[in-house]
Amino acid sequence: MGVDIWRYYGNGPSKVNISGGAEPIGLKLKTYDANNIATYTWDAEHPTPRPAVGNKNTYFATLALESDVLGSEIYSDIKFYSGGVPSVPDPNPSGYVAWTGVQLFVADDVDDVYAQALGTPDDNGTEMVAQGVTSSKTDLLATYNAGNMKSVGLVGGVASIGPLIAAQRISKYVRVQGSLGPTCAPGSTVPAVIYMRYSVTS
Amino acid sequence: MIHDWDTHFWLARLLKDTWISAEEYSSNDPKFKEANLVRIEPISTLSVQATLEAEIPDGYTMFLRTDRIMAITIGAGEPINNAPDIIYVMALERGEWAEPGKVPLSSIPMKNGFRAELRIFKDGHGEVDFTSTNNFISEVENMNGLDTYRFKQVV
Repeated sequence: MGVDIWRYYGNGPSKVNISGGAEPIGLKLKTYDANNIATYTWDAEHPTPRPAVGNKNTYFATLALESDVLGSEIYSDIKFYSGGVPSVPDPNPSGYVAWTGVQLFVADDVDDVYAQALGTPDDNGTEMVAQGVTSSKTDLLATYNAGNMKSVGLVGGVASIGPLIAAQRISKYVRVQGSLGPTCAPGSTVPAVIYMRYSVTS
Repeated sequence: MIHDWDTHFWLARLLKDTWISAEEYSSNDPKFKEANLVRIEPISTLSVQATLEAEIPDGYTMFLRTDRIMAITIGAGEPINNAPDIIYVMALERGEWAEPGKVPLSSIPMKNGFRAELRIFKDGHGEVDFTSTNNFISEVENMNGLDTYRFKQVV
């Protein structure tokens, strides 16, 4: 399997590989978090309602890199960033809507302590600073890109890790959360892309 | 180690003109510290036809890294992903490190040396980027469709 991005959810936590396989799952943000696939699966369940005033949040998603490559690799320099705010394509046969009124935040703090996302299902996720999983947050799509990557760090805060003797998480946890304002349009936003990058000693 | 996703691999020339490669060694192996010339070469004719080559002057350390970039989608559908999938990194810096393979490159400021990257994109094309202090240069030669980039110290 190798190195992939995993998403952690529920109270265990449970986890799912979101970057591997022929058709990677990707990242679906909802107003829900429990030990079942409804947390991450691609469907219209548990949407985030558009607020009349203020903001509504998705539940935050917790991500990290894991590796099951044993006995050989040394990892370092794990980074997290985005491809920026995507434009609405022209033509637009899928009817995507712009990211107007929608933001994707990344927690400024990364750590090794899992916390399940809280909130009111089908309505509003608890904002991640308010939940206490980070002291502050940053607009991911507007801030972090290939020229300005966020350093994530390795599990345990070491400078490098490996060779591994068992499959394990190799990065710290990264948390992302969507936020909707009253100006957002109903529908599917233009697909955006986020990246995790790591170095392996050749 | 050569992975099933690799498009290139490294070779290193040791003293007495013997060679080791990623087929059998990691660049963290103590033998790699004996290297005086390193090449990163295409695995096959289907790989991006570019080779990176550098001599290792006395007193310098070579760091080899492969950076992998994984993209995930937010939103339904296919995003526009213009990022490379793989970056082969060749970094040279004056000084000695006990275990160069365990040092994060981000912790080594470029003071006397160079950084070269061979970026491999999903659509199969490649790009080479080179930055250095003013005592190193990059030259490129094309022969039979293969671009060879040589990074040299100038005195």
